[in-house]
Amino acid sequence: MIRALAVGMAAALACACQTLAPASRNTLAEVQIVTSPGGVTAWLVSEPHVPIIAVEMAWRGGSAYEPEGKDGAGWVLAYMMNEGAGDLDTTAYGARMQDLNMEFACGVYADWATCSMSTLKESSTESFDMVRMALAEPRFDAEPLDRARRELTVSLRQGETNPRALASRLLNETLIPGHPYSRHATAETVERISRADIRDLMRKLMTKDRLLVVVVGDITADELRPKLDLMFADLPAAAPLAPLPDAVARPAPAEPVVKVLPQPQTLVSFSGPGVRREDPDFYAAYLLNQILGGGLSSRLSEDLREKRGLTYGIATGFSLQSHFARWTGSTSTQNDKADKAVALIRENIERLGREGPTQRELDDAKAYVTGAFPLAFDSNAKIARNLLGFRQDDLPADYVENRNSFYEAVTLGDVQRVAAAYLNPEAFTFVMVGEPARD
Amino acid sequence: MFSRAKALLAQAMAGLLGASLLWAGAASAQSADDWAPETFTLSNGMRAVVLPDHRAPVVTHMIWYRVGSADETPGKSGIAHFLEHLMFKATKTRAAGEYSRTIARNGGQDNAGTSFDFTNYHFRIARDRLPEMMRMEADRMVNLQLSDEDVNPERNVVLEERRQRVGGNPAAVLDEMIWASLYPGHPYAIPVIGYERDIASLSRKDAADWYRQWYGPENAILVVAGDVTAAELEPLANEIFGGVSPRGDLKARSWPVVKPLRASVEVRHSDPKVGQAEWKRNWLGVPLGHPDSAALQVGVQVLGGGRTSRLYRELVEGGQAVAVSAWSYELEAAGPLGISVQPAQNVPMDVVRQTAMTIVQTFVAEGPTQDELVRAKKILGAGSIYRRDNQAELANWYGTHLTAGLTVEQIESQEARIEAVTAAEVRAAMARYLAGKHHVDAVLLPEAQ
Repeated sequence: MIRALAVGMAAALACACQTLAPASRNTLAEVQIVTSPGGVTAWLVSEPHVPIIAVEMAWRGGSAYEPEGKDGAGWVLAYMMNEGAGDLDTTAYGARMQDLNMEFACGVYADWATCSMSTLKESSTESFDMVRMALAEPRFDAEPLDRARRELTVSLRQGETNPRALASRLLNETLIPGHPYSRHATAETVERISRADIRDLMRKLMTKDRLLVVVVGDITADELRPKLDLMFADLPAAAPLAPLPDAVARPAPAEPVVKVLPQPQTLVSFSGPGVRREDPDFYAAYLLNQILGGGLSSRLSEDLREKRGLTYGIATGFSLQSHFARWTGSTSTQNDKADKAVALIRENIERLGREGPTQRELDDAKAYVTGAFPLAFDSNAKIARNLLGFRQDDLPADYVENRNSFYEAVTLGDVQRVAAAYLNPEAFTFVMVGEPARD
Repeated sequence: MFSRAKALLAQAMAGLLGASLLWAGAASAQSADDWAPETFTLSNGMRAVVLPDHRAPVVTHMIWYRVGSADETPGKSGIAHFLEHLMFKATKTRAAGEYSRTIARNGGQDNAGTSFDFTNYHFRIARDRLPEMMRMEADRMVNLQLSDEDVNPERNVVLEERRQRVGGNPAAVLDEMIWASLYPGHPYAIPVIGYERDIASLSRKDAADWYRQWYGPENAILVVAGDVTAAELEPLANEIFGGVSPRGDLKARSWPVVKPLRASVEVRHSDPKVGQAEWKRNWLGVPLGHPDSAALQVGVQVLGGGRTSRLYRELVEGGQAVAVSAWSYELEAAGPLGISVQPAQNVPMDVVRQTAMTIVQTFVAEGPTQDELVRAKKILGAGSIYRRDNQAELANWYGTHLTAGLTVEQIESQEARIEAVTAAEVRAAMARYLAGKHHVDAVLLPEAQ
């Protein structure tokens, strides 16, 4: 039980005075697995206290499957998903969403297509039907399609001067040139995207066999079952997707790769080998990341921010795509301090890799990572998003209950071994965007 | 991603639309009454509001000080925000950084924010950890100990923060120009984060003075949302915060009134980093709690709120623009009221400006249709139900209004006020603040024109 773990975890603070008892409730989310007569399975958390319902959907397979030369088709598809369906054109569909007080929006990412819907309980029947229409009878009309292409083109143009967008692209081009993950849209590819491309991509990605659904809110299992069939019955049963190749990173260059952008700061981004989610070492690596760059008490934050005032923030984390697992991080600093920042980051990675963390650091990281878990379950919307994340990671429904035990089980030996295996500064590729003063 | 001062709230001009908390549809296990906010006041003058939500064993704890950047004196811009950063340093009994480390060690997350009107400090944590964290919060209310060793690197952190937020962001540069033009002679003209030259000269003494002049229980409001009741919190707050003596000699807020603009102004900023041109027009709107607030919120919703709005349908669906918005951003003093349009490629700025203003003028002359009125109210009303799903957002909503001087009753009555707004009131309010009034136009361009 999560609560029991949370209570047992951190150093108890001396307090001879007023206290608050732990909550009587002893689970964060009671997940029911609900299967409809038509064979759609959803995770459901029935939570009647606020009269709203959140539905999260995901399909494995995303923009990496865009047709050749039509990069951006996934973005346009996501945009078009709430721009008209059935006999409702874009204006009528938008007005109906507003009248029902529902939200429905989709996203297409490298590995995933997702949609998310939230509705008030009182208008949920109508809202579920709006989702059905979007999935079964999308219109993909000319006006919103033109508008989508126009907005994507604008956002690409903005990306040309956006340090984060530039750094991310530069890292991909340096590490995995030619892999579908490093492709990106341009004005030319967007121009070529047709209605047929969008329709075909939707049929390919949004199928019943790959659908994952999570529902959280004021609805029971019996109420949900027919709604699942209503929303998803008309999706194609299946569509083959050729597996993507694993991305193999090129060796890290000795020097940072620089993209000049006139601004007072340089954005430094870095990427090294990461631990795949299904790897048993994932939990040790996650705790190690917390120690290296996860928050304001991390080694990198203490050194670059608190001690030296070099930056407003530095953080590290994992970028775990299905075929490319990386350990990443970034910071921004004045242009003439960028070299210094890179040297300090390398130094910290090297030292943590060589020595491993202290027992105290490991205990603190565990206390935070396990103790903060309930914070991810304090709203229906967050519960739904987090449970969908577990499903995307192929985790079982009882992961909500067991999750902290995996972190508790990590030993100092485990993190030392993982640190030695992964935290080698020579394996990290650094890019800089700005006007770094280089020696 | 980066915490401490993530919430420099002035720039979020389009936000903060929405109603309040008369929740429709009673919940089953937690009855409607169980959601009702409860208030109490401690003997030292500190006020407290509890917003119960028992769905998860988690609480959000916020302390709001009624002091913000608008209380700064000339040459010391940025001191409110700088002190906010320094509040995470040492106290008489705790080392620098110990506050955040202790919160993290207990599975909590902490942050703080500064705006024109207030400075707030908050953490979210499992409910049984609340008392000990409250003790640390009470400690730094009066026991902060500033040393050059802590202050000097943090000044550089704030300078980097300014470079990150403003230096590399042409839209933020333009926003500073807009506020400067909209509020001549009023402190909202000065950016919350401060001017670079001022920040660079802020001293340890400046920070210590600020702390002594403004921080104390009588200038603080406690907002706790989540798995706690007033019956549980009141004895805790009495013991922990009630033991902090009032300072007795804190400064009192004194701002000049917001004066009407004497003439319309246009400000322009161009930068090769601008990927998308934009035009904005700002008028002076209303403060939080103003009688015209509800009518203006409904009005801007009809004008520029989402896909059924007039600006969106005509400009975006019509192909002249790629994005539009409208806002009534309420602050303790009169906030800005405005619209923005991002023109589509090859559509001249003057053309979209003309179209947008024709739409505004028609709306001001005619007011909303019955359908528009009903839809706008429904959207604003649903916002209050969705807000109830997020304890941190709810605490934030209450704190913003309470520090501006509103009572819980006033906050709670806002939804009913929006419900009661008539088409004639919307038309009248839009006319009162827009028609024939001076304004500040702002133009963001990709390169020198």
